[in-house]
Amino acid sequence: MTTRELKVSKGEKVRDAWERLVRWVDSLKVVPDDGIDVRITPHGTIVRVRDHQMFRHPFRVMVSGSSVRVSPGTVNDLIPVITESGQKRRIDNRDKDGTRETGKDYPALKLDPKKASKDGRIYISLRIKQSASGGISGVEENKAGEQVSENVEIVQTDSAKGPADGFGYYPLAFLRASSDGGSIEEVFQIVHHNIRYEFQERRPSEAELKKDPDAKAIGRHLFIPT
Amino acid sequence: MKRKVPIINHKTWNAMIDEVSRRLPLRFVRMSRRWVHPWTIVPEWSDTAGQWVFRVRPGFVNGVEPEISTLAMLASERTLDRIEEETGNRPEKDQSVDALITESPEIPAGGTRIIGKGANPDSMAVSASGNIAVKFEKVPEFFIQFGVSDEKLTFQGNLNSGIQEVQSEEPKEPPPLLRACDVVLYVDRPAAKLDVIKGNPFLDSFSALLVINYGRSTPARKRPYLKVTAKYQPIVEADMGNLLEGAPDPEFDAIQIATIYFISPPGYAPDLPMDSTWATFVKHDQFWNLCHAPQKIPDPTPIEPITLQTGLVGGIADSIFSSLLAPGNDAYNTALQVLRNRNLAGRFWSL
Repeated sequence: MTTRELKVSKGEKVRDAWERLVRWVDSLKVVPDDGIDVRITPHGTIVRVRDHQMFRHPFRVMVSGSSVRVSPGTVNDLIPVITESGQKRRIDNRDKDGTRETGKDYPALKLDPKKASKDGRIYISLRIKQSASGGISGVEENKAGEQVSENVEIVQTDSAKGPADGFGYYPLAFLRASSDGGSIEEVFQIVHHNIRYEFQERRPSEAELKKDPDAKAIGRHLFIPT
Repeated sequence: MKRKVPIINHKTWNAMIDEVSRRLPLRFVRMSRRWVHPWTIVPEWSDTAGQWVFRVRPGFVNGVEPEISTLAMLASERTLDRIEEETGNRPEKDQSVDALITESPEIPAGGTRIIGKGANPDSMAVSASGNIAVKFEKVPEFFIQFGVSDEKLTFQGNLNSGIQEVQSEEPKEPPPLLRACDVVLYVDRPAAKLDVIKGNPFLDSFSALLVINYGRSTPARKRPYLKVTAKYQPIVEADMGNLLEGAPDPEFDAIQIATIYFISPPGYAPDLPMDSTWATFVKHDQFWNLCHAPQKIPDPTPIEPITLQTGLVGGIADSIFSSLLAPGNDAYNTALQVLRNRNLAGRFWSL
């Protein structure tokens, strides 16, 4: 039934219209169910649908306009940071000491369409600075006894493997920008778990150094789900 | 007593309805937010292609989405636009194109294998007493409830006394037919290649040098790729059986993504191709995006060649290379050891 059917024309009996209105209101009755909560309050009725099928995994990338938020996740138990207005902020909206930031929203990464690849690819990636021991550099303990480091950062890159600048990169999600770069058309989530990071290095042998004194260590960044 | 019916102006009533309809929720739309795992395969009948096709929920390997071969008529506009931009030509509808799985292509299921009645044997073995045993791929238990039955081939007698096939009793109603194909993910990688340098025994101190290098016979594909095959046979790493053919290490790593099963209505003629009346079921093997890396970081140190010594003159030596590399020999063991240490076989893991 549509609201058009509830309307009357001049001279039509109100009783008939009233009965149609009652039937319509009845048909709209919200019935509580397994997945539906109905709460009647003085200000109105609140209907809440519990969505059990929603998968709330770590590092869920959510795009809103030209900014990206990432749901909390860990790399070697560390919470990554996002640089927002020049300030590095933890993605769980807590400060360095683990205290919840009051009056601030979760940090958002501002997308830069100029940094997209030619074909409009944008990756939201983890960037990690490795330590000499194969872990993450600059890890320290905060007042709350948590391990923290600002060397696990979420950044925008234009390829899955990131730039060859010595940092370890792993994409959390792939975003496809529209051809004019003005909006994000699609989001493909890549990571669904918390991560363990390791840097494996193979240093040049004595024989290699004899041949080439400038021989450099080669290594690889490994990202493993936990 | 006659009740007084209220009189309401029709304009007032209609204004009230407008107000109510604005304030009341007219209907709830529950948007489906069901999570679908990467690599989810959804088969469907394509009238365009006149065959079964499927779509894949994009999965990624090291953050890169694979490509897959399909027909231009089944590819999305995005794929065709991309190819046109790259090559300057828009593919014809029957042309094969490589689509990225993030471009939502439909992929032809292609060739299938038969499981159950009419299947080809997986293996055939002859026992010491001469009895023949034929093995077939088992019908998955799920399909037995639909009436699909295993293929059986029984022989009477043995190789010495003569063999006769035992005819099994035909069922009253022909069972449904079951076919399947596998979807497999490949990642190209360098392989340890073996070169044999033959020496001149009159001039050289060796008959042959076995040199192991890293290389490929074809250029590696930049991104992972999916293939649909009637039956996937897992590859054997560092197969010494291929040592003398110079291809002991495969040039790719592969992992099975899923098997698509097709089941016919009962009484379907076995010689007819599958049509839209068949039903499909998918058994997934992968549920997460994947990482891939070689087990070891490639060691750039040159490998000392393995020297094969024979006391015989050139030419005769050729015929005995295989005996020098026979299992158990020193040269064989050395070659195997080097190959195992140096092969770049990779591993997949989920992320």
